[in-house]
Amino acid sequence: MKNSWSNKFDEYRKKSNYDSMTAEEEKMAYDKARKALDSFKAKYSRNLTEDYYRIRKGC
Amino acid sequence: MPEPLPFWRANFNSSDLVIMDTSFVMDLLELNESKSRAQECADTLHSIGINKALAAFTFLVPLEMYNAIFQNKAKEAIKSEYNSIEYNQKALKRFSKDNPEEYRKIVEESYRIAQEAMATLKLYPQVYDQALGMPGQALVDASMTLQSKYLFPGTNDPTHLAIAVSENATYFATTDRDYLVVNEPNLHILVDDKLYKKYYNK
Repeated sequence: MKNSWSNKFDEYRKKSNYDSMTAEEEKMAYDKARKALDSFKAKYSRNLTEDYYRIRKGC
Repeated sequence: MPEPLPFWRANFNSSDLVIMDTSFVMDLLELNESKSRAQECADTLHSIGINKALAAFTFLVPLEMYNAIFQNKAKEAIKSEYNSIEYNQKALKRFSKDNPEEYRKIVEESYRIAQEAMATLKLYPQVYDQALGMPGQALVDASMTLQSKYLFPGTNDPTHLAIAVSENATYFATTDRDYLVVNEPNLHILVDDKLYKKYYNK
């Protein structure tokens, strides 16, 4: 189904060159993001499930 | 009623908008218990990207994440300070009064981690860089309508969903079982494999 994109999403796609990235640019962007994700997980990985549910479900 | 789909069954394309629930984001960041679910969420985000769809999050995601991190840290600090005291609002108030500096550190550290989490997420080009949802009467009304319809246990659940609906999202990615009951036109609920198999036995 075609989403009726609001302008903000179109603007983001343009601003970030999301649709026009070369394969190399795409690889660099994803490598950078994955590296940051791995670094975040290495520093902060912990089990917050119980706290998350308590907050989210108000119990 | 259309069934939710497991993440791997989604066929994303460039006109799709995928709203990531807090549970999805926290699993992606390994702030919840399952490493296999973290990998599923990472694979899903990757699939969104290679198919040029967009992923986005509501304004509640950083707030709920901050709260979960804060409560986890505060609970540990209270246990350490008062030994066996139960964690509740009264204990939290007592701790903040007895240890204002430590309390401040917990707040600042939790905020910093939540900020770093969101900054990490936004490095992915397929993630829209602004939180979605404009708090106001329209959102309150839409949330309350969805709460009446689905009887969610949590008050934030219908708000995430109301934002997804108002943004014409095509997918809602979550690892929270409470969204399994959702049936909104043109919005597919995506869940992790374990949750899907548990409820649909496939």
